[in-house]
Amino acid sequence: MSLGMEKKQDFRLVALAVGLWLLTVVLTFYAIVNLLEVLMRVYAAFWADGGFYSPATQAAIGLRQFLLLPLGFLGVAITIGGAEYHREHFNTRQSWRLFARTLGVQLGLLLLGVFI
Amino acid sequence: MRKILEVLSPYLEDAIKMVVILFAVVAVLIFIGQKSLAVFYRYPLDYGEAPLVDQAMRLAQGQPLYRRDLATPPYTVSNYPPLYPLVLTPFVALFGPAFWPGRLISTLGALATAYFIGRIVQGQTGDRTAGRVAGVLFLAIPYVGSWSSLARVDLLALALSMAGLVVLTQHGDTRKGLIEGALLLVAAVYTRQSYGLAAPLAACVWTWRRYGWRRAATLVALIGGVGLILLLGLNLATGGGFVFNIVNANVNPYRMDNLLRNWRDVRDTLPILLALGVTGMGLCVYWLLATRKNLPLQSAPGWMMAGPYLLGAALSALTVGKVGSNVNYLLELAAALSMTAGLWMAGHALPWAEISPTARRLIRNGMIALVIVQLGFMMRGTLLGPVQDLKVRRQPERRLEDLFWEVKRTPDPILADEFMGMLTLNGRTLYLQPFEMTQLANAGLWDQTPLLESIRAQEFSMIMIHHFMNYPVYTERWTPEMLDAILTYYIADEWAGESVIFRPRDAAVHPSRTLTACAHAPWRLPGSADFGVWWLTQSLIFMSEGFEGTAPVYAVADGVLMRPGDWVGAVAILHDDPLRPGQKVWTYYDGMASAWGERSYVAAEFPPGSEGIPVKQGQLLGYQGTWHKPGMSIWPHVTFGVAEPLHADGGFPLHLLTGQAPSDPEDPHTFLDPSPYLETAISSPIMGTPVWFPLHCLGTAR
Repeated sequence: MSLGMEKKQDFRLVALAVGLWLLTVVLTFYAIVNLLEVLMRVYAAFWADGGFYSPATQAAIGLRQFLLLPLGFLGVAITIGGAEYHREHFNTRQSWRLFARTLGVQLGLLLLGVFI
Repeated sequence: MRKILEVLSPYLEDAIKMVVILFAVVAVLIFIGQKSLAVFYRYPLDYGEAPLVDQAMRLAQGQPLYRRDLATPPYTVSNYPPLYPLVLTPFVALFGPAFWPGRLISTLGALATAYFIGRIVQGQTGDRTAGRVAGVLFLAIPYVGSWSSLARVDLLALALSMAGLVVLTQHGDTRKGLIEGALLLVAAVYTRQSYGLAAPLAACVWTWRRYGWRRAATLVALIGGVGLILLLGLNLATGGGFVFNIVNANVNPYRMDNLLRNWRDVRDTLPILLALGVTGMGLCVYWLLATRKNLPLQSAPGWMMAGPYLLGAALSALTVGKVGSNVNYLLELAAALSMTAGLWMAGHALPWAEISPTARRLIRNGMIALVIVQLGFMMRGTLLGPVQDLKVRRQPERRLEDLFWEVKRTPDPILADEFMGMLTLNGRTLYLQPFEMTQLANAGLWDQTPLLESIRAQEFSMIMIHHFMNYPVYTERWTPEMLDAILTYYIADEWAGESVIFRPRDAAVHPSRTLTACAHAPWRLPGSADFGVWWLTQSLIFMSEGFEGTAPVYAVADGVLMRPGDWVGAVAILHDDPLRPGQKVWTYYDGMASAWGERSYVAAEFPPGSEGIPVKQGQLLGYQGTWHKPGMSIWPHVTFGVAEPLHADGGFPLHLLTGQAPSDPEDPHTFLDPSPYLETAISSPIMGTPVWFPLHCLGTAR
């Protein structure tokens, strides 16, 4: 009976960890897109000087293209590295805290897009 | 589900902290971005910068700052105590009269203030996160971001007053700490006199509640004593000039609409900070009442500081209603609100022992979430407000480089308002501070007759009067008598940096003043264009000398006039087209109204709803006004457009005004180029591009 309860509890925690990991994976992509949008908007707010072909707009687009690759790598690192880390530290304080911090940053980036 | 919540709930604060850290980082980056645009920008960013640089230049030259007698030039006053100009003086002596040292001092002042706010919050609550976030909140407030970009006294004063509070909270129990704190508070007052209220009040209340009334009385005596000795000394040394300059010369008229406008702005920009501040004040009042029942107020030391400081800052902020005031009157309020938000975030003085852990987490995370939302609103407000203002200030088409060189090659004396800084940049001291002297003249404290005589004698080789979009600020900066003398004895010669440049009328050569038509042109001109013409949205804007309602607008040719009921300052006339015989053409005249459209300058014989009224060439249609479009006014002008009639009924193509596509594809899509009709030097390649240039005829003028 006790063993069965333990297994059930483990299963719930495993499902929770996998669910959270999947959420971080999905949010990583949205967060990257949102981050690029926010960067563009901040750049435009400070330096945009007119139409689409203005030097500032072109520079902003260049910046966006430039950042896409490193952010893509970062996304992959969060996905694979996160999976490895949470598997090795399953159901520890460090693992749950990392989930919280990762989701905090991702939700923060999404929320930033609401204001900026 | 319960199990999952049990596992995750301890980490909710970690997640929310990450959000607030992210927002704080972005807010700081936006602050740095503002400074990158402002600090090393060469030209003036604000009216008030040049007088302070001028004062530093005078100090470097050993000239007095606080003159009592203003009967002779320079007609300048030093509105503030001497500490900021004194700090600026070595920089002026070393690097010349630039603006960057002053702006750097303001930026460092803002950063120091943020740090001190953090220190106070952390010191009183023991919560490092709350302290840091309170500091960042201060930097993120749009007023702080914009004002710390300017070479103005306020941020240095605020930093000194906050430093005083930090010293008193941390070392107020020692004699050395008490003296140092008091001296810093006095230094703040001698940077800007209005800092004699909030911080000293907070320091005294806090010391009283913390260490008893004896120590508080010592602090009051120190601040009052040192402050008074300095006041008497400076006033004696300047023959009464010190008090006259920093007190009398600051008593501007108070306007309730200024106060209400700023209050609405604070309410809309800082709603959450304001709510937290008001609640904190309520808490302080409750505790003050509760103390009578022997409840320990000492358990809330942070509120003993923040409560009185907020009260003093709010009272100081009320002076924002003075004519000529700006958001610098709200900086202490910004600091106080950041401090109270930090205390709320730390849950300072809440009875934690009586609250369950879950409720505790809920309250703390809720506070942080509120701060996050407020940070988001403030970042958005900064990007849409101060950052855009800064960009407008820096626009290259403002031709500030031209203005700088124009001033450089023009001999003294020169009068200026917004761009007095062009004089200091050229190493010249100021002859007149128009706003301050106008206020003194209005208050009967200064006789402007000698200056008026100098204007009438055309002694000034150049006068620059700035014209802000949407607000006729020159009416606050120059007396009606000064403006009248300038318009009579000087001629508006150029438009640069949104300033009208006047030169002595006797020396000026100005062909466009008497120009009514260009030779061989089928039509006459619709009005005078002393300031030149401006292409905007495919219309030609004729800008005239003088103020609204004075420069006449005429029909360019014979025709039939119409004015729909909703046209406040516009008429249109249908003519026989002189360039396409047998066809008709419309001319359109707009801008004949006051800035907000409340007063029309269209001639009385053409009331709204007029239709089919015959007019002759040269017939008066009305007068130039400042109306341009909703929410935007420009210098007195008439907007002139030429358009083909609608194909269906020959009517006026109203869709050109609304920017909508025509219902019939054959109908005109744009206004026509008017240069063939007027023979002016305007040609198609620049149509559609906002360009200002002097009015010139292709041939000779008639």
